[in-house]
Amino acid sequence: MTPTMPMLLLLAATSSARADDPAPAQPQAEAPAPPAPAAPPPPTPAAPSAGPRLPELLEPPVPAYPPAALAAGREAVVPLELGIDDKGVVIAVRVVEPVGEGFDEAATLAARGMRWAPAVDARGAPASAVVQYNMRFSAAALPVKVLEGTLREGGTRQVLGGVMVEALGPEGRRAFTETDEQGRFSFVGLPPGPWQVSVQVEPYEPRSQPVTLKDGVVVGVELYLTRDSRRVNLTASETIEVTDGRSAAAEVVERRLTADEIKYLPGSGGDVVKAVQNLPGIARAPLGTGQLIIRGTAPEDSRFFLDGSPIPLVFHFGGLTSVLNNDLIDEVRYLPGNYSVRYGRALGGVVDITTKSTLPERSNGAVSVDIYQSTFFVQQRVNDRTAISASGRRSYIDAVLTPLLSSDTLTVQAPRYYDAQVQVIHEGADNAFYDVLFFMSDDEFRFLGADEDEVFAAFGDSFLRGRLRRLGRPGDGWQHESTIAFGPETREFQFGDISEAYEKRLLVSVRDELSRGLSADRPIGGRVGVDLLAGQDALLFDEARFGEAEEAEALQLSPGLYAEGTARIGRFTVQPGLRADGLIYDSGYSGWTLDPRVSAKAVVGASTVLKAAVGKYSGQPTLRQVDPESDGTQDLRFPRALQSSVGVLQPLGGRASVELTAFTSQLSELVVGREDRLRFFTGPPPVGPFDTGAYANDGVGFVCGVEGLIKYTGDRSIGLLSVTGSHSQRRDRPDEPTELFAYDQPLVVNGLWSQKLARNWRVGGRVRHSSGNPYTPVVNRVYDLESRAFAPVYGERSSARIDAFTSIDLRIDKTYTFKNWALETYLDIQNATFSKNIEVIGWNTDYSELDPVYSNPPLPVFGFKGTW
Amino acid sequence: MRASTSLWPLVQSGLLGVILATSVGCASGPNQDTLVDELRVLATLATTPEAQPGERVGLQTLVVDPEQRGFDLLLWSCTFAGEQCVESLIGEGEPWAGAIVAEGSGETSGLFASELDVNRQLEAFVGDEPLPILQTWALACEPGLCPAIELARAAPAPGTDEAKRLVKLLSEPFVMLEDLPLTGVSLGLRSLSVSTRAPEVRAQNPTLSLTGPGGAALPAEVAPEGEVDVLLTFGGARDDDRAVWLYTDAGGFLDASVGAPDADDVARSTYFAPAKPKELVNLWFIGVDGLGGVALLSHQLAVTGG
Repeated sequence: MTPTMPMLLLLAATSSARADDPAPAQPQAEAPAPPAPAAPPPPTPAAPSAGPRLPELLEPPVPAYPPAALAAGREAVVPLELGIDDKGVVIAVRVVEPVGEGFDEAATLAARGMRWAPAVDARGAPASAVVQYNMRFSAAALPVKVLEGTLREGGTRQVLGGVMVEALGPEGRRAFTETDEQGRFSFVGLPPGPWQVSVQVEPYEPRSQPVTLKDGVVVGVELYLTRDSRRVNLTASETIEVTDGRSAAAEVVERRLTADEIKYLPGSGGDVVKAVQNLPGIARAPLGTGQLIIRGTAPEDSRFFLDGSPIPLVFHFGGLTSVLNNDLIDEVRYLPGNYSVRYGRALGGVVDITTKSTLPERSNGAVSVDIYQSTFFVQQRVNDRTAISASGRRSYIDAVLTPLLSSDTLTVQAPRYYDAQVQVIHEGADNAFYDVLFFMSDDEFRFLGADEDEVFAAFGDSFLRGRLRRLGRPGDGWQHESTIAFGPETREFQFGDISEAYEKRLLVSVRDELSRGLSADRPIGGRVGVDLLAGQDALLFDEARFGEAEEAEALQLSPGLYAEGTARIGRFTVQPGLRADGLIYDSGYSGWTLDPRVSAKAVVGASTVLKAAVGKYSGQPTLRQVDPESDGTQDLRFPRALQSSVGVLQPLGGRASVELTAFTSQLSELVVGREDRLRFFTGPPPVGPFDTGAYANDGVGFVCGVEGLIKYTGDRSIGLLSVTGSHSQRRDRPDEPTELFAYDQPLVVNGLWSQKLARNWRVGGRVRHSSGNPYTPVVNRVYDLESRAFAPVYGERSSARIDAFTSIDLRIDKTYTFKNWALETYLDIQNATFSKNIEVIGWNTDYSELDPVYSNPPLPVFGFKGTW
Repeated sequence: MRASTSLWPLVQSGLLGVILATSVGCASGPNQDTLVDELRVLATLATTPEAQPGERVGLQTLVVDPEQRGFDLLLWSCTFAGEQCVESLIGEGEPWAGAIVAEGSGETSGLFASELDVNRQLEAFVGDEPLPILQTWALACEPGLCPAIELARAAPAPGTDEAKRLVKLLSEPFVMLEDLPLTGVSLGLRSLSVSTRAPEVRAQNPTLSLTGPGGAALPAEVAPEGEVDVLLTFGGARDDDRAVWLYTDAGGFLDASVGAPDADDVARSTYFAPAKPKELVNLWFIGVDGLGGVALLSHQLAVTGG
């Protein structure tokens, strides 16, 4: 766009000002013209006089010759209209008559480097002017290349194409060129002498390199740009738009966190998945649980997916870190409720981790080391269409703590975990993306005897998955995604020689989905898919204190079908859908459900988005709950939730937004009973009293709440404030009173701030406050004169609440950028304020006093990560 | 929905313990669980741990009142099924009918005798296999704290409102405790088995003897923060679960309980005297044989010198 400039000369004079460039055309694309053998005539003034005078060309331009045109032997003359200010600087360039083949762009670029004597008005003062100028390209005379180089990003060596490079020479002479796709650039025809080669492009810090040009010598230079640490493009975005491509959904609330966005947020230790815990709708889970308590539902009511395929867990033991390498992850989609029919078998929320589905631009890698784990990631481009990667993680908490805690009679193997991933991705000639991924996770925590052959107690959790995925894009907005995943998963527990428990599953999951997103000219979209789970479940719970041993094994088939449509009518979008799920065990159980769901949104005013949704969501009973061998109840129905939500999203300028969502969930047919049984992965820890009756669909519940998210993204900072107010209640049996849910946390507040500083420093902090979970207090005790132990007498159920949790986490990091790699060092301090928070309620042995387990003491985590 | 019984507490406690132990280190010294520092019903001995229907069983209840604030004691028994006494369902009397009210003498401890007549009609429910269905309860309360004791002391006539109220309190002891204060109240529970087995094969109480190292008698005095090694020798039937529980009203034992290996029938531990002199310190040793039998020993010593 040509800027407006004051015109002090007569229009007549301006319009007739014309200059042809007789300089030899540039023989090379990046070659500025040398001093012309035949100097170009100055613009011809319409009325030369001692008074008003048009600009005078001081030096000929140095246009770069378009490579393709040069190769084809093309020549051209590009008529330009130049705006020249009162200092003789070209401030506007317009191609009067485009000639194509890259000549127009090259001429424009060269014109900006022209130097003029400014025009003079009638009073003899410098003035702005507009002149006509013909930029000529001729292959007849090629100027000599004098300077060439490559432009890369420091630390990653990624080439930077399409970036303007300026050469500033003696007497203010300037020349411009642009890097090609390989980041290469060159200058031709520049006179000898000292020059400065400069690049200024966001988001990098300005870079200037002095060079000395000599006759007959081509000077080479490599420029590395460093990312401007004071600029950030971090966002934790919530997306409610119906988008093209991958997602055809119109979720009421879909919060996406991309890996690059949140790895520096304080309190998450750089873990992308863990950062989800800061978002609205998620209650604080006890330390070390790795659970997600979403919208007042139990952790087991929510589901984890990897690209739509279920995975048994996302956090290693203790919730320290996720089971997938960050560098594999493209984004984390957190859906707290009212999500699409794409997801089923869950009463609560969904977390879907999306792996990267594009080839890397280059081979790359990373190694990170901190005080409790190390990770690595390497990715190699095999060819233009294929890349392979390997990554892994190993904790060494055990290596540190085992010597400290072990004694002559006890060997403590503190949490030990590792994971590994191998992935091959391929872009097919059919415009499809293929992805083969093997990944595994293994956690273990053991108390051993002195000889380590004697197991006092051991706990393990592991899974292995192989996955093949094809992402086809047949065109016109259609997308066809096919995924098959398979592998075993095991949770096991051993206590001495007397007890053993495990849950094992050999699972095959298949998803095949055809979808079509909306676009500007396509108001109709939708998706249809098959979501099938099959496999073998087995369980053993053998612990005398919990009654008879339970052992069961059965084949499972869980077919799911879903379809939904999306229609946009003006500024209103509606998305109805239907999902059907079934569950069959060969031990005799079968059940099914039909879940209708609908969501809608409307854009009001300039940018306000209103949204609403209602739908049915169904869980599934477990093998243990329905199998006769484990005292199951064969006629259990699917537990279900009627979820509804309304919300509004309001952008506040270009940098901030506020989102408010109100939600309810009416729970029914919840499976209750058998709380006297040993089981895995429930929490918080039981304080009783327990429902020891048979499994039944007697439970009902109600959850309601309001979520708020305020987000700010500045040039150098990012801030998030998430607030959740909620109420969650349950009634287990019809004859029992309604009580607070064990995970009910009326208020959860997370505030985060990250600030970039100069010299690649960054600081950040997180403030957390959450209500404590309710619990049933012990009001008295009975002394059992045989076992010599006190038995608690409980008071009114859920009538007490653990003290609120408050904590401040801090993070500081600095990145050192080198030519070929970058080094990031960081210090993450959790609970920097030494807050003494109760994690788990407990009593002393005679129940006369609370003896809770407190939260983590201040835990500084120092680490560094190298990337290349 | 209530929280559930799970492995989680064990796992979590282990993990958190590991983490926290690194910063707080490990404690040593006397086990605080061995110190009885408030009113507590500590033991109930039966003349036989396995009774027959229709048999009269003698009971002795040990109550410790370390603060010597005085107490009232209510003793009663019932046949416990589920969560309630069901005497009225199987015949004779109400659970409170045999209740005995006693008063502490202001001493640190007292041994209170009572008798239990095992319901003859239990013959219809039990056989050769011992069935632990008899429960004897001992409720010790500081004076005026427990309405049940006041009601029992008044001996209301059957059928009156007071009598019905007492029946309800004593037939649901856990519920009764919900309305009682945590301190100044102690409720002890002892189960007895009932069978029709011949007396010679029924479970018997073990014997227990107390000595110092090498069979020497335990000292009568110990210096402040001094240590006394104790050896407790079992007699009677052997079982893997034999153990001695150790208690005191000052200082503490190294172990809350110690097992008695089959090899020598001897359980060993160490008593740690308190830091300050004390005229009289009580040591109690309660042996359990894992088969229902109980043995009780006590010893007194003075903490002097220093």
